[in-house]
Amino acid sequence: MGLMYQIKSAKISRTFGSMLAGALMLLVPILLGGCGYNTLQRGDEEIKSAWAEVLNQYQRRADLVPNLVNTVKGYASHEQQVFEEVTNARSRVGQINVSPELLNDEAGFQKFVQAQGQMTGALSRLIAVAENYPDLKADGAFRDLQAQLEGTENRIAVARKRYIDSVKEYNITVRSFPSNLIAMLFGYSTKPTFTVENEQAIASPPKVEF
Amino acid sequence: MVDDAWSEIFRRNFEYRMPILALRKRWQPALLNVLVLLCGWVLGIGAAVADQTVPSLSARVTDLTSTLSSEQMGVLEKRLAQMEAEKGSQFAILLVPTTEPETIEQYSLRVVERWKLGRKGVDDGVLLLLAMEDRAMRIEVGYGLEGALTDALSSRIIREILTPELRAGRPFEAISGAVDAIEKVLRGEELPPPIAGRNSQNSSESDPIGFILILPFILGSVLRNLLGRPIAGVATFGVAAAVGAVMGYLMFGALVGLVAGLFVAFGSSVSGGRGRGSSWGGGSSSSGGGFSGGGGSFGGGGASGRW
Repeated sequence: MGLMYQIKSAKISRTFGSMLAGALMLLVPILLGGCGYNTLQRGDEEIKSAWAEVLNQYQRRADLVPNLVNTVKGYASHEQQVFEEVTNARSRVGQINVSPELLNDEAGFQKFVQAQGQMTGALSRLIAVAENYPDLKADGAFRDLQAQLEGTENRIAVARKRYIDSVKEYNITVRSFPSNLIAMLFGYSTKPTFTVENEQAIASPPKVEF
Repeated sequence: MVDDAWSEIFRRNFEYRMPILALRKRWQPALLNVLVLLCGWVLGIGAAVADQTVPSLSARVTDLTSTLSSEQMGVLEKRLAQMEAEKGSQFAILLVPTTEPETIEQYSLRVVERWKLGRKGVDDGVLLLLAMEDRAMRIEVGYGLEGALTDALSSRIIREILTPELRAGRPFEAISGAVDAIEKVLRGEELPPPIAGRNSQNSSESDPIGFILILPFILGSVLRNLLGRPIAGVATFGVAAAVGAVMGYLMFGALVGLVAGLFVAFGSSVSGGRGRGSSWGGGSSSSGGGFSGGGGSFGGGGASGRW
């Protein structure tokens, strides 16, 4: 009798255990979802695509450089210094490894931003030099290239803004309660973003020296 | 090693934070909400004061400067409407006094992000923006048209058509000439054919989540009257899970079904649950006569210029 009872109670506790496990399995996704796990996932993906767009537009700008330099050289071949500067800036940009891991590496990110900032400066100096050559300014090919460069700079600005926005949202999720617990548990940390400082460095007008 | 890491995480998060959490739990969310609301409010006010507002989109030609006569606007409107009917691309014209303190590029992007010109997925929208007092103009090109209406081409239209006419004080001729040129480019571009009644299609899309969220409760209240509480509860759960599975939201449907089923079986009144006013998706449907964007996106392509 006692044995039967024990078996029965073991059975009951086993069913109860499996019910509990089932309930937990149901509960865990709800809790994870409620505490921002999904928001973190979505944010992470959004940042990746926004970052890809930033890289894409910077690459587009780098691709414009050879044509632009050659066109300007046709009219202003003795402006060696500015050509060198642009070419150096382009090779520095090309040396940076732009893997997605760059977003988890604050120092590497800053290096990338700095190199791109130097590129912006060098290109605006090139355009400023070109302004001194009326024949060049009237050249159709140069005007088209200049329009492409302006368009690309604007696309970069848009891509950067969208990246900043998506990182902002994500970083808020990573830092605020209770999603910060989930972020800590799964190893999500805040992502680096373009700061106003960088913005100023890039937006500052180029120094033209004669 | 891994165990150590986990126990460290556990210790940090639960052992010593738990009492603090328990204490703050009640107040922190409320406080945060207040903070967020307050900050959002302050920021919102700041932004509204600083930047020019984007006018709401109700026609293809919007003139806030009274530069164009109503006949001229009618002519342009008709041409742009015809172009959309034939090619599917959405082309809008906006004249504002100024975009200060923003640059014309920043303002223009805000306009297209709000208006969403062009078809969703095709992204074939174009905006011609003129800031009359700033003597600045911009052609903003949607993602899908960047290959055809390139930056160089947009810049050429600005330099060779818009600038001389605007300098000569002929805004209608300038705009009309730019429309000609852009239309020519768009007609040469292979785009998906336009879909008739795009506007109505846009607003008839319903939200499956909202559907799954509400259906079980309505169904449950009907079933409860027919079958009695326990059976109705189980049935509600089953149907919600099945509907969820069919619509591709199995887990979500099952969860809502579970809640609804429990509610039907043990809850006091289902209509009380429904009374919380969840809204369907869809949102505001546009009136038939107006004009609305199709959901296209922009990435800053195009060109700007001054006259």
